[in-house]
Amino acid sequence: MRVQRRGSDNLRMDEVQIIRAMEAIVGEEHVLAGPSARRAYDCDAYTVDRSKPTCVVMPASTGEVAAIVKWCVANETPFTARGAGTGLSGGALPALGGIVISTKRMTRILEIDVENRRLLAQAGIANKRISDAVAEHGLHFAPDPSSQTVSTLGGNIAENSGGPHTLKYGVTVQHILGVKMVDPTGEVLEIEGGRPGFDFLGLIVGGEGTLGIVTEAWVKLTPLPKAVSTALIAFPTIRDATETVADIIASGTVPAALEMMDANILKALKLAFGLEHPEGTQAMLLVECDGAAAAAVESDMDIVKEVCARHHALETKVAKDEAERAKMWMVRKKGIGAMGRLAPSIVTHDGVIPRSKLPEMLEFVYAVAEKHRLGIANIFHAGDGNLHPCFYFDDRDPKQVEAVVEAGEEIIRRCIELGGSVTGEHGIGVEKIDLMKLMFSPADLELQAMAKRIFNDGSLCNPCKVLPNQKSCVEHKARWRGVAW
Amino acid sequence: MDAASESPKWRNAPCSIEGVQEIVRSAEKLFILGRGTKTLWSVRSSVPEEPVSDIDASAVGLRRLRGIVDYSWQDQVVTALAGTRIFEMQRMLRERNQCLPLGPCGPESLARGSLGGSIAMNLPHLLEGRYGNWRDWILGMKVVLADGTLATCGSHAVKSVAGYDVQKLFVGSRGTLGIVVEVTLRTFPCVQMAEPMAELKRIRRAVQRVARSDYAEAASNLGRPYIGDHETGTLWFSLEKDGELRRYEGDWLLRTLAGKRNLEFTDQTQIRLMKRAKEIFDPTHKLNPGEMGIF
Repeated sequence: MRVQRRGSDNLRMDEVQIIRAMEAIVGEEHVLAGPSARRAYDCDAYTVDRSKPTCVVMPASTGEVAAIVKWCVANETPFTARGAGTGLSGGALPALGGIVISTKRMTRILEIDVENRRLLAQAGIANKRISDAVAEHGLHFAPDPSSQTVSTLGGNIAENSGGPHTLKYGVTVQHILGVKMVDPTGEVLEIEGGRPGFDFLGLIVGGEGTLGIVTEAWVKLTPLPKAVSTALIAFPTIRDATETVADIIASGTVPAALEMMDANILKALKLAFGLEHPEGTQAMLLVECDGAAAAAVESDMDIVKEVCARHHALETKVAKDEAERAKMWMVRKKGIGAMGRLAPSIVTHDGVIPRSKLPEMLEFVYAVAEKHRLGIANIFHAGDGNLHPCFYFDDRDPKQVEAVVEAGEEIIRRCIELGGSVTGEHGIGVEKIDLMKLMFSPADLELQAMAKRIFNDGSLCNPCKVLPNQKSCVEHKARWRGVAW
Repeated sequence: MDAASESPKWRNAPCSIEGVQEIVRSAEKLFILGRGTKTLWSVRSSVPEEPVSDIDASAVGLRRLRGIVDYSWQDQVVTALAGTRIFEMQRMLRERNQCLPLGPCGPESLARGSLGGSIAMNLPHLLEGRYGNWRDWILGMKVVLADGTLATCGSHAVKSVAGYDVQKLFVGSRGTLGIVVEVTLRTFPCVQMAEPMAELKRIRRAVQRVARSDYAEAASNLGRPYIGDHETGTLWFSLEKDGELRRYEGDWLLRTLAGKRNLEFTDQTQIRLMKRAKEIFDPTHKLNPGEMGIF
């Protein structure tokens, strides 16, 4: 039996029951179930695979999340948590349908404890709001993914997000002190890190929302550096730039950030923001050194400049003031967005290699793109060896789509051959689930499955993510895999 | 002498990972021994009133499972077998002006200990505030599980979010979930590391961690000599086996030579999750029986 509801939507009776139950928990105005909502929430920023939820629920508290999860468990309904939907591997894709639990209304800062350098916030708060709230105390929340103006604390925790400054300050897991979460049975747990005993917090951060739903977190606040020096350096060849990165790391200097942009990204940035660079520039590095003392920062930057000069730098521009520094970072952080100027579709990959292998890896990336006749641009966290090759193409042409998928796999395979990883910061989600077998043996995957079972022994909490061959996912995969194609 | 050496029926010190697997497969109960430098902190440390010698267990020693497997100094990544002594590793890293920023941490010199033992105990150290601890440095590891299976977790890359971070579970797990046999770590440019201070060598028996806001009060209330680190809220001091101490909200305390009191858990959620993890990873309670005090 189907029921006409909210205009044009045609729902099955069981779906109507789900929606009514959710409305009873959070109120009718906080449940989205119309066709446009279901379409809008059928994927995150990884748009290749899509699967529609029955409805989207927006709880305001941990108690409401727990009530939703308990209902889902009692009624065998899958549920998937979602922050801002900026994830790039399909972590918030409701793979088996069911309920999307959005943290959109859970955006409050609950406590700022300056003395202990920590802050308690709800999971739906945008990353940057945390730093903004404590800037007056000379503190900040160090993880800074490029999406930080919108991506949420809960999403950052789920994906163990990185960002340019993780080179020096570490990824999200090093900045989370404790969480309140709703486990996959609906029970509320409070888990603190840094104590004797098993490190469950280290497992939950990066668990991609499959171990429960984090609703609140204590985050560590880090003193803002007293001195900062930022430079944009232009190079005549890719190899000069990549060898510079390897040599800076080998010199023992650890910049706060060490980012690379190639000629195609620079072209897009010029079109979008008017970024100028010397003629003949094939790559640019954005290097930032920071610390407590200006003299030490200057000395680090001198080492960087000396390494750059050795590798034929065309120009080294050091930011004279905060406004110039902010502009340098703006172009880096908006780089992928600017690529919209080059082509209608972009796929951003995410792989890691040892930093010393950057020169040969970049050459491989360009050769793969040429072989498949694809446009390629590179903008990435060079200091971590974390590549983000971006293919730009026209997704209306199935042959180009096929080539993008093949080229992406070739690059990821090479990352593993060189001793790297299939993902540095975007996560496995559904996107890379089949690639897990390239990196891990069956015994390794079983060990991960054991760890998952500590929290999640069922198949309802964010199903079909991270681990391949999950029960009931294989047959459903055909339904959502490549729907966008 | 290792405290556990009185109870095990026999011990064995294989020099290969396969050797460790073989011993694990054939044992019913098994103690895991590093270099024995942190045995004072063990729940099995000698406490006359609570003997653990009734556990009929074998032992596996990791002291011969040693050596550097790979050192890519340009990438600041090193892989070593778990029985490698920390000072041996530091010596090799120093040749490339690198180190593990592991500061002094208590009465025994950490440097004499093995990598595996230090990771299993995860004791606080004096450089932790600036450089973190094992959980921040470990990129990946190989582990022999309770059924003898060898599994790898993490990676050799300085940044990876591929799969669950299972390696973090083994840090501080005191050998009760599996035996770490090989570990891959990020290294750091050399930092000035003072020799363990004379006072720290004399100060024995306990380490307490409190909130930064409680640190000054905790330090002044100790009423005894201490070494402290305000950054992490950590205090090292002497404490008698049955000595009592003022406690603070959210603090924790590790003792030496006080048996079960060496490591006490009060958080019921943590206890429940730890028991659940133990049932999944080691259902017959084969590995390091009694070491966590709660199973």
